[in-house]
Amino acid sequence: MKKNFLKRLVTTGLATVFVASSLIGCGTTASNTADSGSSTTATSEDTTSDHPDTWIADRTITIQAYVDDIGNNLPANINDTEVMKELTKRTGIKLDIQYTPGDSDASVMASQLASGTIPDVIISYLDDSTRPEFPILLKAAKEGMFADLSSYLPDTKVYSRYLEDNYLSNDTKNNITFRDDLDGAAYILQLSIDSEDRSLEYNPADAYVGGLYIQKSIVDALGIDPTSIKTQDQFYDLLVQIKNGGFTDDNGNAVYPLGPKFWGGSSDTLEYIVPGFNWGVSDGYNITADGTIQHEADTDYVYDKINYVRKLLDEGLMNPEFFTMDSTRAEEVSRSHNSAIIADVHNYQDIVYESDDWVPLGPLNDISGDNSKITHGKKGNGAWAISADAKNPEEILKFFDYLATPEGQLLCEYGVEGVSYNLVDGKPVLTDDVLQKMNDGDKEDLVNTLGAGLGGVGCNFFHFVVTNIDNTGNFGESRPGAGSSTTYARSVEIATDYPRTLKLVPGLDATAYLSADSLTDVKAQMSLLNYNDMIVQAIYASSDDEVKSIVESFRQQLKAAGNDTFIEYLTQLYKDDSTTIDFYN
Amino acid sequence: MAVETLKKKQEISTHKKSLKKRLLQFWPLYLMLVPAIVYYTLICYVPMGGIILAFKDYSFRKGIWGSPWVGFRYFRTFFTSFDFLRLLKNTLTVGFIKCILEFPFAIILALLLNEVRNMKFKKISQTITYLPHFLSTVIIVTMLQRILAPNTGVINQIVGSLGGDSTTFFMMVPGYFFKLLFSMDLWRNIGWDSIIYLAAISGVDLALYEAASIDGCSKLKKMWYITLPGIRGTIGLLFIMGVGSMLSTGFEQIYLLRTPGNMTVADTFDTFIVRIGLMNGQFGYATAVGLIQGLVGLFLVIICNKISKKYTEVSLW
Repeated sequence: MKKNFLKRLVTTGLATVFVASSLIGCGTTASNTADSGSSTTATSEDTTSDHPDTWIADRTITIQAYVDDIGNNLPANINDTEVMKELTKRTGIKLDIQYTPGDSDASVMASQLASGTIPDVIISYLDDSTRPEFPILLKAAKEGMFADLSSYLPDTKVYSRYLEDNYLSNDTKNNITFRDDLDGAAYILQLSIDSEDRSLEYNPADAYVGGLYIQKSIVDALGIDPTSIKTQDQFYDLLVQIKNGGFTDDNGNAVYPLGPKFWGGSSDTLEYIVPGFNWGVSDGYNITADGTIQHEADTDYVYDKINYVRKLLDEGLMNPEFFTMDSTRAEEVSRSHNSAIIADVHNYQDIVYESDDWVPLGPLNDISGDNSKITHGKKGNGAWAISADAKNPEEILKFFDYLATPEGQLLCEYGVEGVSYNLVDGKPVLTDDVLQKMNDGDKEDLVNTLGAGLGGVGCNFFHFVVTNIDNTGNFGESRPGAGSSTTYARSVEIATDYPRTLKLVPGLDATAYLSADSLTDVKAQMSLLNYNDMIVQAIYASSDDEVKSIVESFRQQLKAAGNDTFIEYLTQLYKDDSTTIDFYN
Repeated sequence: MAVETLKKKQEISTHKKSLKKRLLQFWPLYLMLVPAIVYYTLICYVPMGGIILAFKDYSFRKGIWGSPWVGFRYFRTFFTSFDFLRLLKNTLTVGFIKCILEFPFAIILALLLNEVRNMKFKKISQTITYLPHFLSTVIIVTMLQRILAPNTGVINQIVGSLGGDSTTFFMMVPGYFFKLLFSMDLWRNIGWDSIIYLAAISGVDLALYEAASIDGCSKLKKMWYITLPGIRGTIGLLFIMGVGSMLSTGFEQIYLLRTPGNMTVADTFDTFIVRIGLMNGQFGYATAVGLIQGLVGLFLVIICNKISKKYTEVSLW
């Protein structure tokens, strides 16, 4: 009996523990939710008389960033940084910035928006409306998840410029912010927009020179001028020359004449190695001389591209893992000089600016026989929106507007006067200590203690969220430290010695127009097709017959996805206004 | 005999009692059941309501219940899409590899381990075979990429040193994809999957082995006539449950092994669902494909269970 009682007691105890632990689990979550919920609540009880003119409200704004550049450089506690303390002193605002890593920022955003609730503000990448994030943002905007800011914009100091004629690019204005189908509402605001259109100005002080880079020692040994390599034939001859030259890497192994992109193998490097066959300049589409719009897959250019790269592979002129190598190994083959030519890197990557080992090659001519870099005019670098459920959205807009003023930008990018910079002749000059840390790559202090953007070197959030940018006009240099930092001297030197010419082609990539309401089904099918992946698949095919079969299969898929309907839509659009799509030959 | 009669009597008396009385009598046991019921209700059954998304045009703002109905639109789109047959073929192939082809290997390993008499060797062997199960798929695929790299990978270097062609790019050739998947999956799971069979083997009556030994039975015959029939029930149950997940090929493994070269074969229902659902934000469409996958799995389990019950008397219900 006693034994039985003990058994029952133990069993009851165990059962109680099980149940209690389940309930405790639920309870903890609930209280956390309640806590986080309260942190997003506005507490705008202004205002007392001793507040500065820049005062907005005593509240915390919760921001969800779908931008890995922000997430990877977030301070441990942003409100403890010098910049944020000063910002709170001036505006009353505190920030709670969240970042959720995932397979891609766009898929994390899709999942979180689908849950139906978002914090006060969301921030996303959004260079233009062709980005994968845009359809998701647009769907959320149309379904009323974001606050309409159109009535507040005229009262802002900086964002009111978005209402000026010709301030925003056509894409930003007509496809993103002030779309016709939004009935006058403005939900999504782009960031990092230049105060003036400088898209055709080449400034070596801040120019990114990307694409093919070749080892300087090989250039010297072969006695060539790397800028003279412009055609596909010249490029092929150079690769053969390198192969026959017997060059070796740091480990004594023979180099591959053409190596993968510095950041990992990818099919997008096709734009640098076969631009001469890239007829589909508008994300695969272009227009023929007789005015017919076609996808490149339906032309013979697709075979030219494939056969050219197949020849390089067959003759051992390129690394067989060119398209698939993971980022770690790709970096390794670049750093060990195993690649005579890196398919894509730029002058602000340490491998380039920390030594004289690499110089730009080409760039190769495009389909029009010109090697100018194509620009489409002004564009942004990100976007933000306020939740429809956020309290007092006008306060949030005011805060972002303050960040965009010259005064706000100075604080965001340079930090606090006397702490991280001093004013010399009215222009900010970073302190030696900050410059030293920037040169040494000592991010810890710059991010966690100072918290300034420093042109992206520090707390990237504050670099990302400004707009109406005129760094040279406002601060005397293209980015913090450019005038006094030695780190990027080589980057600027490369941009000066190897200048790029720029060519303006107005309009958007054709695929941007897949977001039209009438093309919903076509878009759903088209989004499952990847033209570059098909090309790579064909490049590795075992025979010419297999190449043909892969290309034919893609053509059928394209047709089945509704390509004809889409081309019909594009034809009408282009007929109405030829500057809407960036076709050129 | 007396014990069995007593048990039967107890069973009869228990069945006769009302639920209330049984609750009062065995309340500690029922209390212990509560967390399991709560878990399955909240985690497994409540989310099933989301299936309704397969018939709706999902709106972020209106949520699952408020979104407008679209009927069978997604099902029609999927069945008539260019990808359907290719996806089905790939999914069934991967499912066949994982559920049928790999299935006997864990049993064979368990049988072999059961025969090992040196305990130290047995434990070391078990540990070595279990270890891969704890490695993440990302690590395993990264290792594979290194091992199979053209020219620089171990396999190609061995082939090269033997005078063969060392440039084979295994990861890019569609013909190697299923072989790689099979080898990788088997290496990773064989040890872990054998645990349950080892446990079942330990439950086989030792007296049967002793009797067989006295009758002069060889080890192989004992394995065939005693061990295997002894664990037949476990094998049957695991097989039936495995068949249910035949269309669920697992996302990460296939996604990570995918290259532009092998993508014609490395695309299954699971990778398709992630591509259209998470990457393209078409939640309704992705749910519809997931629902098809689940229904076919359920159908396969019912069929297998019926066949198994008829011929082997082993069944889930």
